[in-house]
Amino acid sequence: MKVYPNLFIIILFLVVSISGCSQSPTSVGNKLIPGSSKYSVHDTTIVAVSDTTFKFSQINGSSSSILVGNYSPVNATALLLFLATFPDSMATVQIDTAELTLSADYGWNVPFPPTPAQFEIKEVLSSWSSTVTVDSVLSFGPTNSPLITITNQDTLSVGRTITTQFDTSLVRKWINIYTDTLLPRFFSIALVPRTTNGGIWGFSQFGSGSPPNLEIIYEKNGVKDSVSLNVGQGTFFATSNPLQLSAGIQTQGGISVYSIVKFNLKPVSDSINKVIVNNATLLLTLKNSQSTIGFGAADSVTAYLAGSATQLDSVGATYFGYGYRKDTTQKTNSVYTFNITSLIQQWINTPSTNFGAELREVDATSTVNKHVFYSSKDSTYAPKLTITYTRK
Amino acid sequence: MKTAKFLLLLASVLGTSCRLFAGDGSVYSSFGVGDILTYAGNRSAAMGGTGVASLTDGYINELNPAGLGQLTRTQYSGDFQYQGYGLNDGTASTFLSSGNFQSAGIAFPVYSDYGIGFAFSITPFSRRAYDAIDNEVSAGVIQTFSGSGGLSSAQFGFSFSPAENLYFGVTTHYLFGNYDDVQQLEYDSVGYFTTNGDKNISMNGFAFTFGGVFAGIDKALGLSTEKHMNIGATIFSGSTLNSTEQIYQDFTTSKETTDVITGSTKIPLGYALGLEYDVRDKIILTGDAQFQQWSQFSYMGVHPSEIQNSMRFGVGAEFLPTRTLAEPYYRQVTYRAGGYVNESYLKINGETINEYFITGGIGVPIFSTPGSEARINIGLEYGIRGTTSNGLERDSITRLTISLSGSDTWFNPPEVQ
Repeated sequence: MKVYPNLFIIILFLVVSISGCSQSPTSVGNKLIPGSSKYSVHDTTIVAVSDTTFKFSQINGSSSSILVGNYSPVNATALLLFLATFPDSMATVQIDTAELTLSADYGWNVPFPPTPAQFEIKEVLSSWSSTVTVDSVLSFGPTNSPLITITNQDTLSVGRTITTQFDTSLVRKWINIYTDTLLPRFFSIALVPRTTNGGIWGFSQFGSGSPPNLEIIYEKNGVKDSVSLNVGQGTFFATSNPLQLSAGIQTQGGISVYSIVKFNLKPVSDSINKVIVNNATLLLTLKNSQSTIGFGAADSVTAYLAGSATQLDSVGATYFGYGYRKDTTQKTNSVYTFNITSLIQQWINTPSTNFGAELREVDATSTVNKHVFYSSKDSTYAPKLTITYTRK
Repeated sequence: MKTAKFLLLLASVLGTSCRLFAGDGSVYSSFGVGDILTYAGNRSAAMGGTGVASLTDGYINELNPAGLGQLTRTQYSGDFQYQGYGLNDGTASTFLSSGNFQSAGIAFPVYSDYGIGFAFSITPFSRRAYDAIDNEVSAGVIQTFSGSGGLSSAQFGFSFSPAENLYFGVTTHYLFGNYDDVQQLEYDSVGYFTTNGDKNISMNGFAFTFGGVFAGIDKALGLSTEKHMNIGATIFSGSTLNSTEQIYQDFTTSKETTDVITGSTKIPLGYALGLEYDVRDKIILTGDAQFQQWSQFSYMGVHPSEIQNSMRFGVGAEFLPTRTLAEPYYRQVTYRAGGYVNESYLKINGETINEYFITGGIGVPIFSTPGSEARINIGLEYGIRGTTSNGLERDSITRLTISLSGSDTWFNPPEVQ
């Protein structure tokens, strides 16, 4: 049987080489597509109809920063719990010294030039956990007996550490408790601000690179030794008065001040129902003079989907957007922009979920940053929502 | 052989550097059920898409099931098609192309005395392929449209001959397929979500083609025995296809099925007439006319305004110098030519979209074995569709079909001594 091999080669060459060299998509012929089949682009701007500021008791938990200090109207008290393990040999040793070292990572409303930061260390007798709230702080202490006053004579800054003497009698007490297996092992102190309007400082948390450290130096049989307690839990309570529910837009971390801003989409929702939201930008204008953002923390606010009409601190964690200063050099009426596209799409797809956008500090549990924005009643700087959407 | 290797290497480089199976067609295919494909095999394509009256042995007649009546051996074929589209809307032009498997079929005689034969094949019925961009929506916004898919026909044909020179047949078509139309609107700004909609349509249903061929015209006209004339006709029953349309939409929050519609697509009745004139088994002339009542077409109960009745007229010719293997190779090659005019089922902006095609091809033997009918058939079609006036588009379409066909004695009943 004779085969024509060259024929195969030629055919194969033809097939492979001519298969599909395309330049697409192409603009040619796009006018044939009916206009009714195309998406059209629309923009609309809506002004907020109302806003509310409220305050809640909040769990600051194992926040990244442990706050302590005072600046009206905020008063922050820190709690430290040492998960201590003492060697049995320490039961009879002589405690020479104990030093508490803290590493600063945040400052808020610190006077310039800074004045000495003064805190009191108090023994906490009642047990607490990271789920404790500011409202329940009085139920477990701290005790009213001051132990040590820390006076930091140096200028604090982020990364700077302070070391202060710690009451050795309290250390002895803890060692005795530890050696008595019948007693609860709970070794906790509170840091209470002593000065008024001296600013609020934040210290690095346990588990961080620079955790709180209690260094105990003791002597036994003439030999000095030491033990470090740097594992534990820390939290803080930042109380503020008055606890209020008021008009206006304000957020503050640490003391859980939130705001809800509401927009009425109904005038446009009928026409844009089930449209595709390509971008939704919320614009808030800051009252710079009433706002304070500490150093060592982000200057940002989060807008969440408010989760309930009645439970004001309920938010949907899925839909949110961060707000940042549009122009960081602007000193007055700074504008914050939030991309809340998903949040607005959710409102349009399910109008019953439109309880407003809840604003919270980004570092709500580790700072006391405060942002005050113009309210919906302001004729010039009221919150605005610009929606870009497409529909057929 | 060095030259051959070089060609293969070059072909590989070319093949891998290009995009295969891209959005490779015209926006015209976005209407109705897409471009209606009248492909009925390489031979037919090279002869102007004709063959309604063809009874020729050696090829599978996919236009008319009655044309299976004179098969003497099992026939099989597989087709690959390259398509090139030169698109021009009067302001811009481009060229798109693709290559893909086209069809495959097998047919075999069962009882020659009664012209009983069967055929199975799968062949395209319609095709949607476009990829267009609109950058005039507004500043910084681009909208793209793309579509793909189409209907295929898995079909079973049967023929019989109740009387001398009279053949009938019926083909059962199972029409099935999916369409996918994707539409996107993109912003060139950061932080903007892209609008992305997807319409997916699935269809399926049965249809039938009834056909007949009368091969006694030559005798009735008193032609010599070297000349044969057939007349054939087919009726396509049309079909009501079960259809489901699902629309998906991307939102920033989720991807949702925003609409599901179930209903039917009505493919209308069609009919065709054909004539074949055969001189000494060397020269074959054909002519067909096809009509389809697309004015009865509906999708989900609605008749699109741009769909109208279609008409197609084609002529073809085939020349085979010799069937003798001792003859020079070029004399064993089959030469084909044809052309057709198609008043398509599209009427856009008040203007009918017409097609004008010329066709040609060759069928070359692969083996030099006596009795071997294995051939590579190459068919080429070139034509124009539409116009650049009235907001329309003119497509210059090139189709190159390469098929491998052969025959064997499978399923042939043993001869009774």
